[in-house]
Amino acid sequence: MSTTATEASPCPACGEMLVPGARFCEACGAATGREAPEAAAGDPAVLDEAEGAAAGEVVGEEEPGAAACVRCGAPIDADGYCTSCGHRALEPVDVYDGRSLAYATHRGRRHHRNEDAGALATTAEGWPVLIVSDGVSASPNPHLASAAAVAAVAQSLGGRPFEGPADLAEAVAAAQEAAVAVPAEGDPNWPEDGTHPACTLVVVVVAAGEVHLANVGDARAHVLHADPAAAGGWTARQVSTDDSLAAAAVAEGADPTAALEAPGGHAITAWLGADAPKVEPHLGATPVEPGDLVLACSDGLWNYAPTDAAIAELAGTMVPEDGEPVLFAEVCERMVIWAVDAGGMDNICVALTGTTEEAAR
Amino acid sequence: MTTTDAGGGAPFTAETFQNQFLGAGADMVDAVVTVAAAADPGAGGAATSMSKDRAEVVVVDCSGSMGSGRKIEAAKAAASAAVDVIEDGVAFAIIAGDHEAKLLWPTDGRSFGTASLADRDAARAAIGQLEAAGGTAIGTWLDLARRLFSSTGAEARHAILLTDGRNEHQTPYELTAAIEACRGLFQCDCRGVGVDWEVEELRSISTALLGTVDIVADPDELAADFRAMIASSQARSLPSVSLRLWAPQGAVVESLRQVAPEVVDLTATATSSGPLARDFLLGGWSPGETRDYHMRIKVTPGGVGEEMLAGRVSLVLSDGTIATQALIKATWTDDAELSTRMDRHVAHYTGQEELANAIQEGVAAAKAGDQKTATVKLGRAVQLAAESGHEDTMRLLREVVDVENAESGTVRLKAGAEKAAEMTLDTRSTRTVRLGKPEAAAEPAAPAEPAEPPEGGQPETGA
Repeated sequence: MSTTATEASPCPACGEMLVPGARFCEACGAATGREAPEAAAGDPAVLDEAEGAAAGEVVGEEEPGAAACVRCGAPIDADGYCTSCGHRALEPVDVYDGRSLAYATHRGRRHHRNEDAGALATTAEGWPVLIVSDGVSASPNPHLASAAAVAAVAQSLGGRPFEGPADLAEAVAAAQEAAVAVPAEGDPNWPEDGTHPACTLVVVVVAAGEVHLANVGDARAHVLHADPAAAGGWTARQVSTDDSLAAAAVAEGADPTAALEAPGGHAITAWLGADAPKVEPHLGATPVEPGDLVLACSDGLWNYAPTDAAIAELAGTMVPEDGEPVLFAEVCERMVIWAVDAGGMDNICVALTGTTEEAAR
Repeated sequence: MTTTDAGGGAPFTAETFQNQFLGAGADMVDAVVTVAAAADPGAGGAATSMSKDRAEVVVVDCSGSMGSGRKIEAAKAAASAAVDVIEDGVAFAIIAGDHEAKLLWPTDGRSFGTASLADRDAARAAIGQLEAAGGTAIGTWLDLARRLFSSTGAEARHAILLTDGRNEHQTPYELTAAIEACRGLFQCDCRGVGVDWEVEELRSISTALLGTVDIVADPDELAADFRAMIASSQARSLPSVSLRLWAPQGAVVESLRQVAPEVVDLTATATSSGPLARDFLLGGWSPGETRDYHMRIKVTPGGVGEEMLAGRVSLVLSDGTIATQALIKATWTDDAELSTRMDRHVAHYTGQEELANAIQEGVAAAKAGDQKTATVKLGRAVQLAAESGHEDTMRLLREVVDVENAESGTVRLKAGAEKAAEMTLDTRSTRTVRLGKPEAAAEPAAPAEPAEPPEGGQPETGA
């Protein structure tokens, strides 16, 4: 959040008074010769506007003029562009805060729109449900497909008693039906070439003592376990199963990092939508302990933390020390910002909840 | 496409047409911005009507060559006709030009008279005394006009300049210096009578001074033309505005041209209005008038997925108020499907600009005796005129070349093409046609040609 407060001084080129800490003059665009504020690279102010989101509040409104350009430090104009280098400022992260569960999502740096979607629900028992879907960019209207899929899952599981894997299978079937119903026409970013909207899906239900999950494609779910013996205080285990060429290669003994970096390593082998060969979700359940956290995310996050160790390390930098209550919305937002700063190659969606009795209310 | 305006009753609106998607590493951003003045100027507070606060100067060539044919008599009649239609209360003066300039009227020491029954009579009487004698030094005429306009506080300043010959008694440099000194001070419509004047010379004046240029081959048509010029000057009741173009750090404005109603290259007229912004003076506007501008901005390419504001176009009123804005954007993509599309407005006007150049180069080559180049260039012009449905220019081209195949641009130079036809084609080469709205153009054409298959609306050009 911090721009280093510096004493007000005039621009060396035109004499206009500078915004404290600015690296470029607002009036003439000349470099001021000042160093970039230390926090600027890792903590872009524009992304921080979503901080302090109230419960259930959708944070997405840009506050024009308040921010500085993440590239050059010059002020952002009322239209959302840098007044010096012209680059469009990154929008704030969309944060959905349900207190005991939350998710956050962002377009990232390279995609024109956010094709990821998230949703939250609670079962009749009060068990949190995390839902994350990643629209397939190589298909028409992927953003509509992912939005339709998560909404269908939330409707299928929300407010109803959860009775086990069959309910998850039913929710995935509802998501598939919703994705199939999305029209292929009308996407300005994709030609009408016969392909149909497609998306991935991960759903997590945090029941008493165990986590149930279903996934199709490569959106992931991890269980985070507090472990004082671990380097960052956490261990992580992926509980979803990737439907990807990389995962298939790893199953046959390939090195996981090499498999992901191989051409086509990220290609998914299963998805939702009219072109999906057959939808067979991975269904599973795993025991959890009180204090564990459950994370669901799209590959926009896990591309930068592709292993359990990397996810655990990330959690160690984001989740407060023992005793402090975890603010799920804030952690989700910080993880999204971290992925944007890491490169933001893809859309990012991160959902998080806990397993303690308190968190479940 | 971006539209912005300052809300209800805005004096101007601006709209951008472009394909904002660029391939990775691409650095050239093309956009057409359409600027329209409100039809009801009363609505826009800052741009109020100012019909009386204007000054008109009529500059009449009275060099010796004007004595041949009916030129001097026609010029006198035309100047009188102009005086007839100048509205009551408007300041006006008449300059007689040969190898030097003299203030023909008023003769009583004032710079300007004021249009009234008495002053019009006096001015007409002075015009009647004109005699053709002496040489041609157009720069001196402009110098005198500039001194007159400098002495008036009139908001709208307009001149008509008539000549029948070349700027023989001055160096080209002297003329250029005179033109530059007038820039921004007044607008000037230029007319050449007969066929012994230089199109390029008058065009350099009219372009710099934001006016029109045309040939009046038949002296008998001069009076009507002068009346029309005064009328359209008086219709420009909105004060002069500037187009301000902001472009990001490191960007270069490669070109900025008015492309409709005619091509006027404004690139070199930029004046700095801040390190990242430059202003282009557009002159006065008539209520309801629309002009199109084509700009090319070279930017530092962003990464794939990044979006940049490549330009911000603002219309700046004379009091510094910004009347409207339009944004020009660039988004880099690795999707060739997006980056290779050409916006139809940009394509159309790129074609119209090429059409004007092809005509000017073709006529110049024909004059220089280079038949081969002339045939190629005028052939290309025929092709472009046909593609864009530019019927007026096509008609003028047919006076100069025999068209064998318009679609392929196959032409033969006409053996006995008249000089007047060549000059008319050259002078009017910059006039463009607008791209119709696709919906409107898709409506059935005039029932005169029922056999023609529909052309699919306005043809895409510049492919």
